[in-house]
Amino acid sequence: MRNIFFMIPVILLGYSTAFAGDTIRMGTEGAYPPYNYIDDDGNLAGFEIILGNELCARANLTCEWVKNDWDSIIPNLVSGNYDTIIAGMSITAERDKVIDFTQNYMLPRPSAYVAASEDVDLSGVISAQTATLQAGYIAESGSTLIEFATPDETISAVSDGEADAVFADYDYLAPIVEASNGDLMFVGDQVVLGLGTGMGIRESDTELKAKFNQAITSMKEDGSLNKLLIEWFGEGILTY
Amino acid sequence: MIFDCSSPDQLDRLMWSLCYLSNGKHITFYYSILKVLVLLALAAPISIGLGLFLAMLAKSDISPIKLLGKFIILIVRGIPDIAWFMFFVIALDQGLEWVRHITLCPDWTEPIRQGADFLVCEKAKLPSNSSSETIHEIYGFILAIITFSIIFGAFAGNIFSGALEAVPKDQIETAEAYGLNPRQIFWRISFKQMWIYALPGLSNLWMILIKATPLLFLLGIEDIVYWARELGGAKTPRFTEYPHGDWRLWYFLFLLIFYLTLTKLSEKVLDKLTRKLTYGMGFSGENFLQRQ
Amino acid sequence: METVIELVNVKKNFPGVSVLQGVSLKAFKGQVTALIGPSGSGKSTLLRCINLLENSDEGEIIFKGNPILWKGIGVSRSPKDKKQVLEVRTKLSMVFQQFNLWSHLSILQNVVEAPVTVLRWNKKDVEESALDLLGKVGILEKKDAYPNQLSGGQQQRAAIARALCMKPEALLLDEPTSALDPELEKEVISVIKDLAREGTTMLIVTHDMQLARDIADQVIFLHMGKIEESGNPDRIFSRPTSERLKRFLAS
Repeated sequence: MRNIFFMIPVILLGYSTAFAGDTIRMGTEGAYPPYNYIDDDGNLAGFEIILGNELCARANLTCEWVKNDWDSIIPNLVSGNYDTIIAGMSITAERDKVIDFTQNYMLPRPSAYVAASEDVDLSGVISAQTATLQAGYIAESGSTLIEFATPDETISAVSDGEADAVFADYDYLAPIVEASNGDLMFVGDQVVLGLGTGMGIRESDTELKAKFNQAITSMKEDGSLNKLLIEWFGEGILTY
Repeated sequence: MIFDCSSPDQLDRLMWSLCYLSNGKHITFYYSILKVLVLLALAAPISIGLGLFLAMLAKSDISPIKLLGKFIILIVRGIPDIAWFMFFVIALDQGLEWVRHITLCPDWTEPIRQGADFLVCEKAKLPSNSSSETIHEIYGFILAIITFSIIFGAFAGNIFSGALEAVPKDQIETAEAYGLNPRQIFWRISFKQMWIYALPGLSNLWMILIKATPLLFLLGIEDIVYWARELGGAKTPRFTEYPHGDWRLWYFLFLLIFYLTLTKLSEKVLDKLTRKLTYGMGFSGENFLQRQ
Repeated sequence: METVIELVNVKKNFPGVSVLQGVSLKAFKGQVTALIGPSGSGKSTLLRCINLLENSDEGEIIFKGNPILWKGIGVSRSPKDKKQVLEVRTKLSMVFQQFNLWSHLSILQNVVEAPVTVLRWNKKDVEESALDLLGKVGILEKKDAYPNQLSGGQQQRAAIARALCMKPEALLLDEPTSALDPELEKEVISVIKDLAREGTTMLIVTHDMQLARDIADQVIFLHMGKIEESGNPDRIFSRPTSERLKRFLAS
């Protein structure tokens, strides 16, 4: 009797599949070139998309890409909306408390300051994306931190004059500085933060983590990861 | 496409604009406008239906039913919309998965919550992992519609409650005196006269609903706010054929115009509707005696 | 003479005030019974107790020889038999001081509403009869208008037509002209007089003494919830015996 009662909403609202699929849902942000972004046709593109697809192929998994805002990217992983986070996310001790990481697929990259003029005071107002390593770093330093939900907005803050400088991943900033025709420039020193970029996985999903670790290792061993890194980040990138 | 967009950097301004505004990303933006309209088209009638239902509950002679109706209306109105949105979407989503989990996977012995993780067996996942992202998006959208409808339904319930109260007691009493039974009095007198009192509140609620549609964005649905922000952000030549600076102002201006147009149109339609429904009842200050 | 309505020692209390303190009367078929008295004497309440819009606390209400059956006693008493209530309400049609036409319905719709919905008579027949009545009270041309578009006098005449369309045993009129300006009163009074002349059974509460004098077969003077004096209009108006009645008529 109880079962029938429960089945009604179940039948009305959902459908079940006959098999426990091997489809893995890959969560990414879609707003962080060159790691991941949306191309002119509206599709996800970027280094991590290519990497992700390759890793899935090597791990014999069917993968489906999911876009999620940066703010809720960890909570939604933990809730089960998708199975991995592959979004330029640095491995940090703090994040490791909530989720697990695979080994890194990028060695720690420098973060840099970008400002609208050479002589800017880096102890002033610095913009960074919310809940990032960089935001944490600025918060600890003496400067005033202002946070934004998307990487885009951190740049606009500098152009608008809201912030003296932005502190973000060097790889994200480089194309922007280039395209700015001198309006934006690198200032100050570069800082290396974090333990490299890795894939976020639920703590309970040990099997999946193992599969991806295996795939990443194989890409490191046969040099394909290095090739991909150089392709997307230029010759200066540290390789495995 | 009908125009040749293969080398955007060589096009003149007009052609560049046309190609830009019709690229795949922008088409998705236009579809999201459709999403907003669909949300409005579905949430409004569902809210009205739910509101009527709640108002009838709150009017019931049976004490526990009456209390239930009033309670639902009170808490949904009293707690901030955003809190409800977050709660409902997560609660509904996890709730449904949990129900499916205990019915479909009775032999799953591990706890559902492990540390911070919420886990259900593969078969219970709703929608399942193997269905496309499109299905997932549709499901998320449906949850959003349900959430909007519940919230606005409670507000509508409050409006209908008040409107039912506002029907002059004389009208009801006269119907009693002429032998109409309570059911007949409700449907033939109260229900019909109530609309006139409900309309101002409902019109207002519709406007609020329009303005609340960007909450879809908070629910992680790619609505027009999401796309305006995404498309407006500065784009470097390396990653696009249509580089541009920070155009968010323009995109948000477009949103503004879109919403204003929707509001203006709504005003016109609601005005007409009000005049039609209150014809002869002397509500809009018409002076009929003059016309005779 | 057939007694249509009989009240025996009817009492009604509202919190703090005793509105009816034991009223007994008889209203006869084909006759007009006028209830007069100062404001607050309980006249309207009495009328509303008769068609069970109010529940009296004590006493008998007898309609066409059948007493109303009650459950409970005193303040908590209410009619036991729903069918009886329906019978009383459909056979005694009320005309209200404020007309109370249903504002969302046209005049014609107002008139046919109860006969069709409650009595379940054939709609076409009722409409024919309604048009007749509207013509009789002189507002046929307003049949498709809405109450709000009519003057007070026109509305009240429509209300009378609505009451008559039920083909009631008697009309209960609760101060039918009190809400009308003198110019508009005349048209309604004229209709009421016609009805009286035709032998319509009526129980009318009024403070239009002239009207009572002109049409009543029986005048009942109510004071503070009790019947002070009653009798035929000639005697009541020219030779009142009770002090209070004398003072009332003089005012």
